[in-house]
Amino acid sequence: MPSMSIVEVLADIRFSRKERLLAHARKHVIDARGERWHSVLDAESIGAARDEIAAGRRDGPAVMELSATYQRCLASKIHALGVAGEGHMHMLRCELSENLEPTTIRSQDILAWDVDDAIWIVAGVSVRNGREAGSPFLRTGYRPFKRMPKRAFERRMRERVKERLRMRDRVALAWHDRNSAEGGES
Amino acid sequence: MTLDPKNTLANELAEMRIADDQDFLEWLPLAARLRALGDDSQLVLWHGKFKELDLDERLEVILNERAIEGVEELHESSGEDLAYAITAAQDFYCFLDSEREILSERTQLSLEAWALETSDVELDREAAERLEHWLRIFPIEESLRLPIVHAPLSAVERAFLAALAPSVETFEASWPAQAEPEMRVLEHDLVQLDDGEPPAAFREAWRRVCEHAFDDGLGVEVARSLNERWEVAIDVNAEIAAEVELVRLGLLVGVRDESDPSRWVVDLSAMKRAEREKALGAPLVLRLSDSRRLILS
Repeated sequence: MPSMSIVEVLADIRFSRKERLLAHARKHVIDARGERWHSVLDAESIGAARDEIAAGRRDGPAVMELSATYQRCLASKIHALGVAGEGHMHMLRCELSENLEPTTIRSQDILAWDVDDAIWIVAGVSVRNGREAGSPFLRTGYRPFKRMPKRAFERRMRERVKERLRMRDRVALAWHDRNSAEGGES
Repeated sequence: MTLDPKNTLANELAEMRIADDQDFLEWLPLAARLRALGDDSQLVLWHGKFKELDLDERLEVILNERAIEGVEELHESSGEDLAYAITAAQDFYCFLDSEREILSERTQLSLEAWALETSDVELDREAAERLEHWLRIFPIEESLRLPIVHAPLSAVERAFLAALAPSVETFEASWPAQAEPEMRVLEHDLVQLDDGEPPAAFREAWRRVCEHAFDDGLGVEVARSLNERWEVAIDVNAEIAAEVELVRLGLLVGVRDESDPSRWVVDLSAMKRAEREKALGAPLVLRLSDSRRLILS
């Protein structure tokens, strides 16, 4: 079974490109239904970014500022979970053989879930020849549910992680979650 | 080593510990997926497992909440997460197919609405690829597959096909503008929504701003009213009622009135104030049997 060392994310982790950051901030914050980010990000900043978008400006100053704040929020959360050893797991993305067995590692993903603010964050780092190639980057981060009990949120995040592992092209490296029976390193 | 998804899934299910409703909600859809792969050895245990949790009277609430959660996830997710939001709907659709006869009408409608909602989802490339891969790993029975699972198409592929075939039409319309007296009553009484019966003045004001919405494109007339038991009645003109496949108030599915086939009822009685407030302000969605859809907000 493919394996490698765990890669922890740093506090200044970012999206790989500005376009990706803007696309995720747009979909998950600016265009999000309901006021799901108001307890986490500044409501006025969200409103200002929406006004800019409504005026046809896709990357005006308010959109850029909100996107940067969103990125810092995700970075801070996933870093803190890594340091605390809670609510995250490391998983390898691999190529598959013809009989559906994982072979070459393509990247290492860090899946994290902040139970207090109900945020799901995915980061990744490319892998070549079994070693990390470059720095980890944010893939996405959002609040899938506006209001959800903590226990239900944990269950749904656990389901997301396990469903990835059922796809055969993923290999669990370490599961850091004190509330999960699956916790520990592989 | 050859892949045997049935054995792998059956082993995983057999090892799962079910201590509460959330564990049950994790186990149940996988048991239904296993049945769709041809092995019902786990799903036949579901009622017994649920009874052991002593939650029997909450089954409807738990499944309805899961359906609402699932619809929200469909709208908020993208990429790989979106694919798994769809496979969750697929699993519960398999459960519905198997156990429909013992589920309440409201639960059936909630799970059906969740499954139907997947047809409105626009897949990105990653979501479409992961769904294809999922079906390769879990080749569930073809008759049980949701269309989006059977043939996952990305937005680009859909756009190409849309040029070849007529698209599903969505009509959007607004309730009449609120007059000043109704506005005052509605705003004043909104604070009392959790204190016993809804005030008569509130119900009357709400009825006045919610009646006779009319959409030229569809020929649909709709009216909403709220009774003293916190039930919202949605009335559709008789000419079109037979074609209505689904009525939703926000994410809440309406149940067709047995004595009046042109009326659907959404029960808000068990809700807290914030939920009632949200439901009363939510858009009304009607889906017709030919997939045309009306959204009134």
